[in-house]
Amino acid sequence: MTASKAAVALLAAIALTSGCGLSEDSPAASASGSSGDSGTIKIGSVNALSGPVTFPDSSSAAKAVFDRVNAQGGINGREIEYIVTDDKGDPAAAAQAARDLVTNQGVVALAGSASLVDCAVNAPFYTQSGIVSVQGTGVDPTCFSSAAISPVNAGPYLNTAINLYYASEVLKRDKVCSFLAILGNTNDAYGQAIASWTKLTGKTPVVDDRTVKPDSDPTPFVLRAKKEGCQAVLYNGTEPMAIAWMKAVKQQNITGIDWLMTTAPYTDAVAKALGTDGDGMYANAEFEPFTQADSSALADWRSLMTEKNVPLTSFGQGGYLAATHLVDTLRSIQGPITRESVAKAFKELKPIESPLTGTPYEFGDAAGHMSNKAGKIVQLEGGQWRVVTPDWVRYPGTLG
Amino acid sequence: MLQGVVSGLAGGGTFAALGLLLTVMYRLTATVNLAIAATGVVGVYVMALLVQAGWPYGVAALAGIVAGALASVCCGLIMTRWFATGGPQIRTAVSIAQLIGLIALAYICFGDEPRVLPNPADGRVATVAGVTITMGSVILIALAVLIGTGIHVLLTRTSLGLRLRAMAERPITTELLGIGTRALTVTVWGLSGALASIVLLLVAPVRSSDILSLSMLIVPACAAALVGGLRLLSGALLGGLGLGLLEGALAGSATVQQYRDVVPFVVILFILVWNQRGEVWDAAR
Repeated sequence: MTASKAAVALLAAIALTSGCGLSEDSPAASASGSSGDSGTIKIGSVNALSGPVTFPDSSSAAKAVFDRVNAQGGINGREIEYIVTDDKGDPAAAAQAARDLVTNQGVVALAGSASLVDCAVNAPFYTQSGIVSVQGTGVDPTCFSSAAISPVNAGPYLNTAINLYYASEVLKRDKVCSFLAILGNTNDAYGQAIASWTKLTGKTPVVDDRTVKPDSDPTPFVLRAKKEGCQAVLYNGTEPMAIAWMKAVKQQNITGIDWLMTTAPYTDAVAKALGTDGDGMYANAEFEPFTQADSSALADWRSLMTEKNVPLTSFGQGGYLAATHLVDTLRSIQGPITRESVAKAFKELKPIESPLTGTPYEFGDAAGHMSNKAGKIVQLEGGQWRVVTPDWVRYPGTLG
Repeated sequence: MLQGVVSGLAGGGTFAALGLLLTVMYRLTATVNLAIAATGVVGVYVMALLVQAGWPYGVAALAGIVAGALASVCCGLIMTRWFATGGPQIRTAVSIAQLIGLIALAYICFGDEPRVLPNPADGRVATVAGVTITMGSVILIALAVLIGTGIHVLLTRTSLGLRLRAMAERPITTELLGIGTRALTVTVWGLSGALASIVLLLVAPVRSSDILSLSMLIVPACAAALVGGLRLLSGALLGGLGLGLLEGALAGSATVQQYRDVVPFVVILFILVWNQRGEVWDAAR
């Protein structure tokens, strides 16, 4: 018994060490293979392209940026090769995609990834491989608490904090309530957001309900908001959830409550699906609101996306920004472009201002990154989004 | 409390209607058809596509119901063609595969973008305890009762019902008696698909309308059907209504609402154990 146990342990140890050896050697080996001054500069991204929730626009937008750079002569004469992988919303596929990109393809950085599982699954691997990811859309809390990842978007937690801040400090509502759907490991991150707002303003939510499920009938919840006397309600539902929520509000004929949503339902599809049923609903745009046709800040983004047939969405803005920040950083590198030099450039990065965000993009060598700390509040009216706050609502507190 | 209960009416009607369809399908085809809500989703999305293309709602909804029926017929054909002699366990496993297949296909065909879903019954009927009762809730509950009583009458009072029952209980004997069972079975599948589509056309505009959420309405529907032991129509009807009211009541109460998802299943577990106390005792002896 003991002998066989020892044998198993030994086998496991051998397997482990050989596995470690592989994962440590190969990235370095292939990195040097694609590095230097010749050949293409390989950039990767891990995305939800198929499955129940898909974010295809971020990587399409990033590709549009890279294609334009290539058409204009590349980075010091070297073309960018952008490798887009699909994680299917599946952690195993995400892990496989990241290992293929880093270990086999030898990418020097990741940019424009938009996925629900990439950060949670791959953050330790990215740190271990010494590679950086300029995330286009970070959702999972890990995206904002890894040394190797810095998303360009604000993310649902900061979005929540901004909404609470906007409700209590700008709209001056006394009774602010929050109804949250907690998916996966997001409970603590949302808790931190609410605690941060409480610390900042000294206020607590009248209702802090975290039991909404994606397939719940929202009617009992909106009735609870009414019963508890909420004046402003924050809800973090996705597109279909927000639609159902506002329809329940309309059905129950509830008036006098401000409904604040995160970025997720700020889409043309939601505006169209809700029509006038969504009148008054707020959402928090984490980039310069894309529905503003005349915004000069969006001129370049809009013309590039239109030219390359990428849908005009918030996700597209994230991909565009991530790719643009990466290109700027690559251009600043003196000497060969390798995984090490790219990582070093990001660790020493000075904050990059952009008209698309309210706060500059940062990387640096912090243990976690959440540099986009502002939003513009938009409101639905007659099936159209309009911007309520022409100036950025910057969140003065910190999360975590 | 009363407010919560009233707000759960729509959910109760939905669970009851789907639970009844599950029960009937189990009695007539010996299959726990877990894909029944998903076939209704096909109906909803076909309707949405046609409305988007400019069709009037009535015609689009009718086409959606036909599409839902066809999707269900396809599932039924697969079941009768290749798994006719498999037991209920095998057929239920196949229906899980069909559920996953339908969801995957629906995502490929319709995508994950929210659709414009007109509500055929968004009028307000009354206000009870501060809750507006919509036309949709009333129609759903009426539909559930209608499905329940209609099927009860069909099965117990008509010769078609007699043949259907014979086919479900002794398929081979029925065939030997010269009654073609395949067409009958497929008709049952088609009708269930059509009814599920009608239910979902009423539900989708007021709930989270993504493909996965709607398909997963099968879970509370299963719970409702289990209350009737998958045999009693009255059990499924009352089970579904009770589950909806319970869900509403618990969502409105601050103290118990965090256990909201658990309570219905505890209740069902209790009912199942209670119902089977005799059998367990007999088997033990």
